[in-house]
Amino acid sequence: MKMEKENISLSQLLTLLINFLLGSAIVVGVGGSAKNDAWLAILLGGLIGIVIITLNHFFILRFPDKNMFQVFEFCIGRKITIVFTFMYIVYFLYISCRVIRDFGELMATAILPNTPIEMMSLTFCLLMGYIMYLGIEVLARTSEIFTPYLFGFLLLLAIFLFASGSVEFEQVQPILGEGIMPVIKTAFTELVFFPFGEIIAFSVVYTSLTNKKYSLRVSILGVGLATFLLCGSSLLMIVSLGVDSVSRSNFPLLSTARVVSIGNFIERIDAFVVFIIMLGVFIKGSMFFYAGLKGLEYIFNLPYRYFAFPVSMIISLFSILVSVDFADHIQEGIKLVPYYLHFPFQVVFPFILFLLVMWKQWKGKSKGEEHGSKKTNSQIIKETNKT
Amino acid sequence: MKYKTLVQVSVMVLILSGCWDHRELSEITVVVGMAVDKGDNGKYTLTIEGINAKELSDKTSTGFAPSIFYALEGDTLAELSQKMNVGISKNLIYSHMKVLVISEEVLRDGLIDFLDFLERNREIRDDFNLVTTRNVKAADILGVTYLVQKSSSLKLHTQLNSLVESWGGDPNIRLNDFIQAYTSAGKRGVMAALTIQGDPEKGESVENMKKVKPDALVVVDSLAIFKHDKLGAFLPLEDSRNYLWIINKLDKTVLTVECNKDKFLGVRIFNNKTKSKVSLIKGRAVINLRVNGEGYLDSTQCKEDLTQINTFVKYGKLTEKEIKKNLEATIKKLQQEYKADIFGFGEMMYRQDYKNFKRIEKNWDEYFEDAIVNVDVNVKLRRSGVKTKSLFSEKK
Amino acid sequence: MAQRKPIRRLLKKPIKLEDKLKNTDKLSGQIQEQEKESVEFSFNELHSQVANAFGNSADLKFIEGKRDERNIIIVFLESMVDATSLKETTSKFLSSISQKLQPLNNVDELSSFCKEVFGGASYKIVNGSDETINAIINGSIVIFVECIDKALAINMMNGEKRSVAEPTSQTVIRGPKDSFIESISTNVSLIRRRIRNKNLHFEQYTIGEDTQTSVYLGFIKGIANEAIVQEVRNRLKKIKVSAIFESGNIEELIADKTFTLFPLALNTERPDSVAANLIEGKMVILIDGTPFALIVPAVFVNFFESPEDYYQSFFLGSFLRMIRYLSFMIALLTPSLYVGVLTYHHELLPTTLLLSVIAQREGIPFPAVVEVLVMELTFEILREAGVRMPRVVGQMVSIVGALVIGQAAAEAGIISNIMIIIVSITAIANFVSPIYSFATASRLLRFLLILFAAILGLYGVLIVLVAMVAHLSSLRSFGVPYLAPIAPFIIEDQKDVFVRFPFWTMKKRPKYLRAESEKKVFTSSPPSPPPMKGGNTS
Repeated sequence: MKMEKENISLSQLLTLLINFLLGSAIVVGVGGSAKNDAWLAILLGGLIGIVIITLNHFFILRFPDKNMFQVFEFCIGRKITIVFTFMYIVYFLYISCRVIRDFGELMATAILPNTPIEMMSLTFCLLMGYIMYLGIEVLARTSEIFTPYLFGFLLLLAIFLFASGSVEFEQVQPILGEGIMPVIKTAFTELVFFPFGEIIAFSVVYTSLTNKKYSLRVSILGVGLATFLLCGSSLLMIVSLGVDSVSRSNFPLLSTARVVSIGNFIERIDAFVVFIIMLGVFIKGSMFFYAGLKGLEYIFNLPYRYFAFPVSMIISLFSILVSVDFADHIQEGIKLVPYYLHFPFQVVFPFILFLLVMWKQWKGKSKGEEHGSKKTNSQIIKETNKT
Repeated sequence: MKYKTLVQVSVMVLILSGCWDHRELSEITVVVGMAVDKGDNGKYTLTIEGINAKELSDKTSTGFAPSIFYALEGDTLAELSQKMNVGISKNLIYSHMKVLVISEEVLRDGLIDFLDFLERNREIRDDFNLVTTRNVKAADILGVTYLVQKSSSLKLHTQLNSLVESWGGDPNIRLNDFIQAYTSAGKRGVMAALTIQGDPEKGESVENMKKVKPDALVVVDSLAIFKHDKLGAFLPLEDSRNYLWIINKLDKTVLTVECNKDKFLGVRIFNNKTKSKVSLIKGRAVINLRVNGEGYLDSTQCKEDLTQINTFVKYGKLTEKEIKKNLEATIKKLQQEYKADIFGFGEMMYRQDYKNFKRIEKNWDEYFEDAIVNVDVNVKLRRSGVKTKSLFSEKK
Repeated sequence: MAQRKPIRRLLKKPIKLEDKLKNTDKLSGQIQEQEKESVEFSFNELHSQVANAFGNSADLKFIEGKRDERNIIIVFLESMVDATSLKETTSKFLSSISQKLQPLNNVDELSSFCKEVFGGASYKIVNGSDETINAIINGSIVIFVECIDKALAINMMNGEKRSVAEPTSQTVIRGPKDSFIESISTNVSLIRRRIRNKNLHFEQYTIGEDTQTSVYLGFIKGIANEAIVQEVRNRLKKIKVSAIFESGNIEELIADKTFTLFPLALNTERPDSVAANLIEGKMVILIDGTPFALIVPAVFVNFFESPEDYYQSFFLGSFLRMIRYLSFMIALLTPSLYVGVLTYHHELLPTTLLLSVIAQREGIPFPAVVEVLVMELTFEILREAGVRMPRVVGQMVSIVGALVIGQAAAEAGIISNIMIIIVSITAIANFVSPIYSFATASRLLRFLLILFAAILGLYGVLIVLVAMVAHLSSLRSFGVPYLAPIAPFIIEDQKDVFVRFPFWTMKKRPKYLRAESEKKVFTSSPPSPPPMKGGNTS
């Protein structure tokens, strides 16, 4: 059956990418195990992120009209693909739950301590469900509208921190005190999965892009900008709080915002910071949600909007059930998720897919030669796109 | 239709059971100050100052006390802070706390376990003054009323901030600063110490506000320094300023410099910048301080002609010498007498010479005592007020 | 009921009439083939048949004459035709017809005769009862001559209308002071006088089975996007209702989505605003009988534009526009922020402000949310009363409202002073919107926001805001995304969104309208003084 065609412009892709990468990464803080050099680790991670998104583009260039699931189908047939797709759906929705739980914990800790976290999760997921019901286009536009505010508020936070005299640049020293190894280790064992590896969720978005010519450049720009912002915020945390305090904070950006105090008037602005964070989290949660919905669309051959509200309720429920307490949640995120989920879904499966595509195309080519026809590689691709 | 039902149900849920964190303004009392003393039965006695907002505004004021004090004893501040309603009618909110006074006694015994509560609590922000007392109880400090600002905590907050801005006697310590010093190997904590001039008993009444010369007044007394997590000693106020000078936190100050025998200059110092370099040379720590500043001649008791370049140069040199003398004296005092690196030279070395510091981290205190200190001061006298020559030089 | 039945039967099918108004020189044919099944009048029973069709309406008049033993009957609705010209023409007609100068045996002869007699007046040959009755309803006199099976309708619609006056709801300080009136022909002329271009087309539609209201769709061919024009046409054609009285009716019937608080078409009573929008590439829908015209497609940012932005210096224009955006936010958010901050996030207020607010609210019996709701509702009641009251009493209402509600409530300690400030700011900010209908969005959403602020604090406010933005981005006005130049972001169109650039920089029409020809301004250099003579020119 024919699905509705949706359009996403390049600028929308850019804002989606930035919000997605900032999303929960800015809530819980990344690169903490590199201590003083977290920002260097983030920069390195950003480079890896650019490599990842370039690899993603490998597929986009070959199959401009197919999302990840359809490429799987092209390689291994629909039946096995359904199994794969189902696993991916669970993965995407699980990560979406985690993102929402991150935010729920932040809200319950800092803003509304007596409100049940279920309430936060329910309202948040209803909102996500509503937007997904309206479609990815609407999500993209919403992100486009809120991104300038996100930038503005981050800039404002930096200005406030400088103005309140909390910033001491010496705190960033010693740079590379323990050598380069901790930085590399952090970048390759943590940052590569979270947040940069999660770009895999975008593999279902690229099909909706209107202008595919510049998509690689824009994606790289997006990852670059997000890295820059993450790195900036990490630096800001270190120079205004000190490394020890940052490493002891559950939500470093929140702790940083709590330091702001200008002339007894601009003080205690952490509630505002939480709301900036909320926008990023919102985009990130929705993107994973959308990726999951796209999988459902593939399996059931029904427009994904039908699933929006029911699945949003599932996410809401599981964001609560996913862990018992905060420590459980964080431990799960550090010890289990990267190795048992991120690694296979972000690295192994896409790599298998890559090999399959290569094999299939090589086979197609040699078959073509066998039969004496002069089909080129690109022609095969064109044909497969038509189907 | 299905969605409609879903939305309806969720809206009902929202409306019928909401408002968990809802607290009306008429149901809260704002806490502006806390004082921690040693308890008789429990570990601590916590005294809070809750504002009676009506009294602070001229329109609604009726002449009653502007704030309410209440004290409870217990082992954790977390419990005490929520238990206050045994005596106080409204819910307390701590987000607007302006000053935390910790009594000398508590600090001398090193009972600062409650720092974790302060850091962890979501309501309490890192924007209050952290001070200690000298010779008086912390609760008494909070109790003294003041004519201009009716709430004593608000008064203390303003007082300490003004002092930092005009002269620099208060180290302006916030919670995060103190905790950083607490966790660092190369830095010891400090706090401003307050005391009461006059009779604490009389200071607690509204009558105290009606006098031109109050019966009791809270004054900044000295700088409390910590050694091994315990309050060690009190440094005089002069050293407190020098401390700020050394750690590059001095905003503005006025210095008295001797220009002739029993004749003094008053020099205002601004645009002050202090750079310190700490390194390990031949097994000894070497501390190089470089102080740069600009001066403004506020007063002179000498006769020199201030229209001459020479005079400016000369006075500048005198000022430099005075500063150098003061700073060196303070550092020496801490090296030899108190044996505590409150300036964070260790921390500085940690940043500038990470590898060497890692080696000597454990024994830093000894290295500090033994350190060679070089102070290099450079002050440029810029201008000299609205008059040129001094009236003394004109006198025939 | 029994009397109306025949008409209903006769008017079963909607009929497109060709209009004869002088000002509409370019009409594209919308005439449908008449259905031949309609009942023919027989001349002998004409009188009773027509009278029956109109249920013996009091204003249905017959004038009878005679020539060569042939009866002539003139039928018309007295209320619809112009009395003076009627008198003049009928007497002329009847007198000249009795002079027997010309043969009058068939319809051609009748029409050539009428051409002579009625000079310039527009006439039409009608056939069958449907056409006849339509002609009569639309203000024609219909001339029947015995033995000629067709009749002649001469338009003599009366010109009862008020004169063009100053706009009442969209005033400007500097700019044209005329506004539309209830007569559609006048309105068209007001537009055409501003745009003297043959490509300005007006297409006519008759909408409303009972009201037979003329509706014009105006656009500039070669500028307005053909696809969008076609879309508007289709939607207008699809309308099947019994009555249309105001542009609001049409707006609801052709909007892309009706379940929204945001208007999807601009309404204006200013011809200059219509003309400017036509030039941009939009379309206008004029409805007979109302001074409000609809401009489609309309996007969110259009509701913050006043024609005056373009008549004043662009600095001021930009500033005022930003003020309008700010006011929209204030009108939307202030009460909910008040509730949210005062009941959930005390820490956001500076200490002194918090203490002074607490002191003010001391002894106020209501929770903040009740206080806000009571005051906002009171204000809405006052406002509605002010609008509906006879003008003389209206002032009293405002005085009583201001005095009683404001001062007395605050003094009695029921409402805090700060609440009064909040309500007044909100109210005033709400009036800033240049298009009145747009204020409804902030007026109604405000209450939703207050509700959520009361339940979840600022988090609730933000949830509603995000949902609102999502809703806005899902809206479309005739296929154009409602948040168009902002999301999807179109960099070329930013010259006329939050700020207004000088005229010489706005070389192109807005891209989101997908105009057929993009270029707008042909000279594109900023004005500069002539080169100085003899002076230092380097």
